[in-house]
Amino acid sequence: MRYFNLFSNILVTKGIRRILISDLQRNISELYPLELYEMIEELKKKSIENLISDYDDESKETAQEYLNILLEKEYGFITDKDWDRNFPPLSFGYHEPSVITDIFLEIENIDVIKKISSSIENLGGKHLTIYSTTSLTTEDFIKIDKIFKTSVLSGIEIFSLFHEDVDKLFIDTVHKNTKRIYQVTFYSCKRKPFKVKDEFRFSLYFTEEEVKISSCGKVDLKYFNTNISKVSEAIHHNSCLHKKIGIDIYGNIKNCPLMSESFGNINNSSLEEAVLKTGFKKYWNITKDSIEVCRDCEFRYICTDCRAYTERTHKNNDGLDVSKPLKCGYDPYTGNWEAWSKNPLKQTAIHYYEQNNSKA
Amino acid sequence: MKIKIEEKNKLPLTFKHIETFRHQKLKKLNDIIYVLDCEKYQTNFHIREKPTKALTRLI
Amino acid sequence: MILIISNNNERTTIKIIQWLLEMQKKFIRIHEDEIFEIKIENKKIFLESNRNSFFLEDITSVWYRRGRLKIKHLEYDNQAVNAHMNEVQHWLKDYVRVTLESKKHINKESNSDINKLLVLEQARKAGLEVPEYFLADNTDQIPLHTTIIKTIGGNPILDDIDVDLNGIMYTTTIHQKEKTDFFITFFQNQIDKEFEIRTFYLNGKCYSMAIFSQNDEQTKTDFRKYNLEKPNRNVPYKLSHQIEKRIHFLMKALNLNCGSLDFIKGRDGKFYFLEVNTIGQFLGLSNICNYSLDKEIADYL
Repeated sequence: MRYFNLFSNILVTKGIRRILISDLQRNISELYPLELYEMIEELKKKSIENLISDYDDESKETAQEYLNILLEKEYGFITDKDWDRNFPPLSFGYHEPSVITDIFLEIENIDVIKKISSSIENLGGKHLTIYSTTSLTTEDFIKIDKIFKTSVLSGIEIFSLFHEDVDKLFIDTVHKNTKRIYQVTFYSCKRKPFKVKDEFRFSLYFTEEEVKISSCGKVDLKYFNTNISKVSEAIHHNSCLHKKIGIDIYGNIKNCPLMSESFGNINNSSLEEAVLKTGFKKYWNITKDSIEVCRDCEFRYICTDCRAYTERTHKNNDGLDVSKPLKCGYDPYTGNWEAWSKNPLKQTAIHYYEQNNSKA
Repeated sequence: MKIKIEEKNKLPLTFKHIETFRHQKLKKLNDIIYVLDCEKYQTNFHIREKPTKALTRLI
Repeated sequence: MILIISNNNERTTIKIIQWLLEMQKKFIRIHEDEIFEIKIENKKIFLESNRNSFFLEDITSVWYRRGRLKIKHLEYDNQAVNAHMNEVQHWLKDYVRVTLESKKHINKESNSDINKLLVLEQARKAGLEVPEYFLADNTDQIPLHTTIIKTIGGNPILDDIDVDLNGIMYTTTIHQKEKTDFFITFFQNQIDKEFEIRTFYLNGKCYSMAIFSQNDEQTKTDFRKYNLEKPNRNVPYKLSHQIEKRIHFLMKALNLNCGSLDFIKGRDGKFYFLEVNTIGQFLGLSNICNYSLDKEIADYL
């Protein structure tokens, strides 16, 4: 008798209509029909021969095909006489020493960055994302990098408004004089100034989109990630807000610049103080499993949540918003992706946020 | 690729089966590891890393 | 105060430091190029380099990761004076090293290199299964196709062996007889394997990972010939209580409290011990299996 052993780093996430199989070693996720889930569960209880014989003649072939896929993809291995019981389940514990791992900063000018740099050191920040509403010069880029010359940060990402001065020479100057910046995006760029090749020490993007900070919160396949770190965080914590701190253009310290609740202002308070305030961490443990609709979605552990823009339909017992993200156009109940902005059911929430944005 | 080793003294049989590789010529810029100075961790070899998840979703 | 002996370029050290900072444990990090002077302050032994300084008695635990603790040595002009001072300095340094190694520690500088041949004997004594091995300087009695050779040297990498070329000695199967004699070489019976196991041992605890290298021709004989296109399947594994106990005996006999051990699970169901490395990379194993070994180490120090 042969037995199928599923490798412990293969995570099967069951959605309402289909399943996602995530290979947490090779960092790939793939979609499969629900019936494969049933089969994988049965293979934990029956030998391969018994399982196949339980199927009727028509289904036998399909079952064998599925088994071939599982073996081809190296999702499991076969043993004789019994399952190999020396393979423990993978721990999905998420252990992160830093108090804050990512900082999302909205700026008009770069002066504010110096104000928070020592706090970033104290909190053990790993990544800084800067969204600038104005065009940054080469001096700006170089100054920003210099502020973090000996920082604990592992990387800096910058979004800047495009301007005509941004040409190959501009980028070359930034390339030669910065170290920590790993990605630069120029938005509102009608025409790329030059053909971008993989030649700089950071990734470089030009987009026509008139990106505003309120553009954030999109849920899209391109933002999905499959890896142990991300998945284990998503299983235990909120996949966006956990260990994140945001500072909006007015210096208000929040979970994210797009959230409404503020925990102080950098002009009179520090990031460390804000983190310690009651309520700062209240969204940190809202997992996808506790969010409406998302709990039934097969993508829930590889997707990123958004609490800033939601459908505003559900609150949990603690009064926290556990509604589905507004900008997610995927419906796990149909298995279809649609343009979220056109969804009639989302219009009330969309209007709400538009009102609030214009007030601010 | 076999290497020619001329030695007076005998060598173990392991030398007959040495595999060689050239000093790493980078295939893509993606293969480069960028190192940074970090005062708090007391090193000049703090590794620059991209985040393992999408931190913002602006585009 | 924790003393970390490391190289400047050491990723693992950063990971542990991140945890030590979170745990608010004080530490001193030493680089490979730091030279210390032994001094006395308030009748207590004090070590000072251009980057760090500490009282010997303040150190509560030592993590020997890489490199070494270098202590300055003075040379004297008069031959007799120099000979005498060599000895005096030697005993002072020896006192410092022995004192440090007697404190709570993870690994020691003094036994970071080990003799592979002696290890195999100790492994057998500890009750571990070891594939038949022997030394030979000719292939007269070697069964072909089922015997492997590997180096008994610590480092299989030969930098700059030729112009613009580096060499590496992977474990190789012998398929043909040699006409001439050669320098003493290590031969071992090749085990038909189901998968390999790498175990990280830390103070009595074993953290294992199974490596399925069999199906890939490239990695079949030496899994370190990493197939970057399609990496071998690596998953968490749990050795039997009996084997873990024997590993513990072996590590104690070798006076090691931390190291990586390599095993093969044979198709015959037996577990064969191959070797132990005292200073190895364990972050890979820790990340793939999500064992948080960096946290475990910081916890222990």
